[in-house]
Amino acid sequence: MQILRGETTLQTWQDIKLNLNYDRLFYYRGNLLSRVSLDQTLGTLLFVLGLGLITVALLLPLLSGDFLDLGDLLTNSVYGLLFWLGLGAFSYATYLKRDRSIFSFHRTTKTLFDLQAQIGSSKLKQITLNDYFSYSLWSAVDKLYHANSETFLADLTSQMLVSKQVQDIFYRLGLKPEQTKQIVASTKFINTKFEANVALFGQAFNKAMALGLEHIDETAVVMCLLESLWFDQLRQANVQMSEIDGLNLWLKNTKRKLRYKSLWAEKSLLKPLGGMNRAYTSRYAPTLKDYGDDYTRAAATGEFVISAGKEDQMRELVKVLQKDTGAAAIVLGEPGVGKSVFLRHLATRMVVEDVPKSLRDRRLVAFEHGKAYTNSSSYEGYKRIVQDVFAEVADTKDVLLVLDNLDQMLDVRQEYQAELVNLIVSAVDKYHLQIIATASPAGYNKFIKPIPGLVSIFSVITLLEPKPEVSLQILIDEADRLEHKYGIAVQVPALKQIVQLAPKFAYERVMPDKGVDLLEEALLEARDAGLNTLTEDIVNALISRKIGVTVGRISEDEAQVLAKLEQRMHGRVVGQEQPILAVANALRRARAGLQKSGKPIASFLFFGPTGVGKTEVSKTLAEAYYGDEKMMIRIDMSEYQEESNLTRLIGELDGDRLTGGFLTEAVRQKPFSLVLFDEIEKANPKVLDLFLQMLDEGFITDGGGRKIDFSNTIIIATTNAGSREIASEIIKGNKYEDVYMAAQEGLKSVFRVEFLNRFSKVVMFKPLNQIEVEQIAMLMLEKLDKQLQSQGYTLEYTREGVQNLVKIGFDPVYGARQMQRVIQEQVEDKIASAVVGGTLKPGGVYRL
Amino acid sequence: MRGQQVVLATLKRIHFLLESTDTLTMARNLTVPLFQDNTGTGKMFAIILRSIWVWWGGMFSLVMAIPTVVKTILFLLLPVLVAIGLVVNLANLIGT
Repeated sequence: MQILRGETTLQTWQDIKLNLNYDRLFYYRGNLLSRVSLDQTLGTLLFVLGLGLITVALLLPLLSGDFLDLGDLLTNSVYGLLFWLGLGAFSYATYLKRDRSIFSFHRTTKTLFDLQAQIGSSKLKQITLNDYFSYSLWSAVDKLYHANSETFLADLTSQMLVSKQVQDIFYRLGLKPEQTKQIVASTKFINTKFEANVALFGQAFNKAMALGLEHIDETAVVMCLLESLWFDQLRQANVQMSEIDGLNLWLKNTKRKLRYKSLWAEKSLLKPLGGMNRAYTSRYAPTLKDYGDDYTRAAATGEFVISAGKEDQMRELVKVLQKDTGAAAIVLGEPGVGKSVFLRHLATRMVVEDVPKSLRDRRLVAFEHGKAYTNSSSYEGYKRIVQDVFAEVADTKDVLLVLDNLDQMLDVRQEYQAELVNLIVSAVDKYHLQIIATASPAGYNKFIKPIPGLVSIFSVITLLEPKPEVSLQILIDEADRLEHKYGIAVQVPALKQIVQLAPKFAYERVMPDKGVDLLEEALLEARDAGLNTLTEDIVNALISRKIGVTVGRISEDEAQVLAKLEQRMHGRVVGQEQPILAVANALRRARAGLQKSGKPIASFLFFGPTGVGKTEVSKTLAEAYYGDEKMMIRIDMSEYQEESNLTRLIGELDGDRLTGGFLTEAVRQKPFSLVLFDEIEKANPKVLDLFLQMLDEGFITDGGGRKIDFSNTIIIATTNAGSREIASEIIKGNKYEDVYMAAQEGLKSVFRVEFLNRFSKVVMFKPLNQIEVEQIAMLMLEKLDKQLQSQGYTLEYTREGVQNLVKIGFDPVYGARQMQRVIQEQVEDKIASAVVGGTLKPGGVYRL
Repeated sequence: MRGQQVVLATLKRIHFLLESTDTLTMARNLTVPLFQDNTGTGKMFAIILRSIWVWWGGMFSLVMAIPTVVKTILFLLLPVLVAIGLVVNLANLIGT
């Protein structure tokens, strides 16, 4: 074994040397924990012995009647000797049983928190990393080094797996203990001796600092390994990098929560619970007391709230509030995105004093305008309350006033609204109030944005829907609470599925609120089904039912349907092999989860002559993918030839009222549907621009400013452009590919190239030949026969009869549409006459 | 165990006592008027009241800190006391 002595520099970080001090690190020669444990046991024994000796020394003289004065007892007797020996034992026991996180010889008692405060000071030139190791990591490293482990890293990771913290990390990635063991076991450790892996501790230090850990511990080491050594195995176990990012964020949040909790235990005792600040510089605010919700008081008395993943916005808010003069910020976010949690988190930070000094001895109080409104008999009364509250806040000078849902507060008659706006503006401008308002983006656009005076006083802070990985961590935290409530264990893959699928419906709601509700619903379902674990399949079934489309893993039946999709489509559409193949492939890709996220499931431009099956393919696709051909939204683009028609498609705001567009409303109602834009060449080019965003981004913005999501739709546009080129090329007897190339030129003369390129596939439908038209005629007659049979008649036809019809009905220009007309005239009309004339009676047969 | 660590822990405890009785807050704001009474009388009263508060708060905190301080001193001196006690006792016993 190579003997390591002294101190070595591992790396430089922010101009500070990161060192390892081997003398202190290996001081216990691999016996740190056993030494500590031995000290604890010995300490307990000495403690008992010491107490016993002291008791004996004091009691025996009393019992034996040999009363000694205290001076004699302590200085001149056997009892005195016993007493001092007992006190000595007691004293040494206290030393042995000391709290080593506070009192230690062989490392600093400082934590990384203390170090964080020193970063940037010129005095800090080097950091001895092992001073900041957690006891368990220090012990494990020391032990493995002295055991001269040839497989140091492998042994260290195996030891770390025992840690509850590490197990929790793997659990949060959705990995079962056996999967975790497998990952560690299958890791190829190249050189795993201690000396070859010291750099890991430098990385772990960086990680611990980034995560806000108290010490460099197993968590930091494991997170480093997850991002490097184990990354490939994790990917094989279906763990994505974004999930590790989410885990980092959760750890950071949890550690901050723990730190805040310990600070809170001390600082909350210092916070005054009445209406006065600690320095007694504020004034009593009776109206605010009646109509206010004191967030800081709630935080000091136990409402401990931490908001995840909104650090930047919090920093921004604190910066705004630090202004000496009036400052106002408005927090915008959809309902459910966590605006209240965000503000209550600010209150928690004010209590634990993790805010600048100017905000520490302050109160965060929300004005309950709803309560004020209900308790007032008239608007004048309500206005008086608002005025009083503002005046009191201006007087007290220690209150940060929260106007929760300001948009709702301003949702009153025009003249009242103007008065309220004046009150708010003068409160900030004239009386220098510090106000934090909240509103939904729609409410902000409707009630606040149109008033420039109001907009100018507010700094806007936007809370966006959390990223999926952050939502997952929030759900894991919530799952913990709900598991207890319902008595059902929640598997992390089930939560992952919720996060993945929740955006696919209920667009008006956002994560994490939507996810939590969905989780609760799934738990209720699992409980009703008598299950004790919430699995991915239950979530899939629940969401499939909600959206009407099967999600989740592909079942065996469904796999068969997908595999034979072309066959199924050919049952309804004659010919058109290439278009059907293209469509079926796109559908299989989508179901296998290979479509590009954020874009529509698939988008096709069908071109070719009329009556060749473009609409029929679309209907068949709607039925195959969405379960019903009624899930097809059909928009006739010939109705949108003027630029002004665009508003009919996407809706418009008429004053306060939003008139929904034909397209946007239909997709909002049925987000899982096939959208068919017929005769697209007839639409105004400005209308076609709408497609660019729809196909590129997967959404469009409607007239009311709402995002309409198209990522769950299949978009099909049809056009007859290029038909002439197709016909002439077909007549020449060219192959499909050559016809396609020639027809492309025809298309380009009608549509811009960038428009054509947006579609996932531009599909050509070729004209039908006579044999295909005959097959179509057969299908049409079959359908007619079924219809007649339901009314008690039978249609009989021979191939010759059909061929005769085709002779009349075959038209290369109008395709199957002409055939349909001929069947109507030659068959349906005649049957109708026979029925009306009484020659065809129920039970009768009509022969073609 | 470092004596410095024990002393620091004791000082921290005294600091907390001074904070929890608002003594330090009052001392920091000694000349700041109470309840924003910016009149001359208000300012004078503030200084008087805050000084009284600092005095009594300080006294109260120190009294409350006595057990901690005694404990610390004893803790630091105990090994020495034990040694002295043993030596004196043994010397006296042998002498008699």
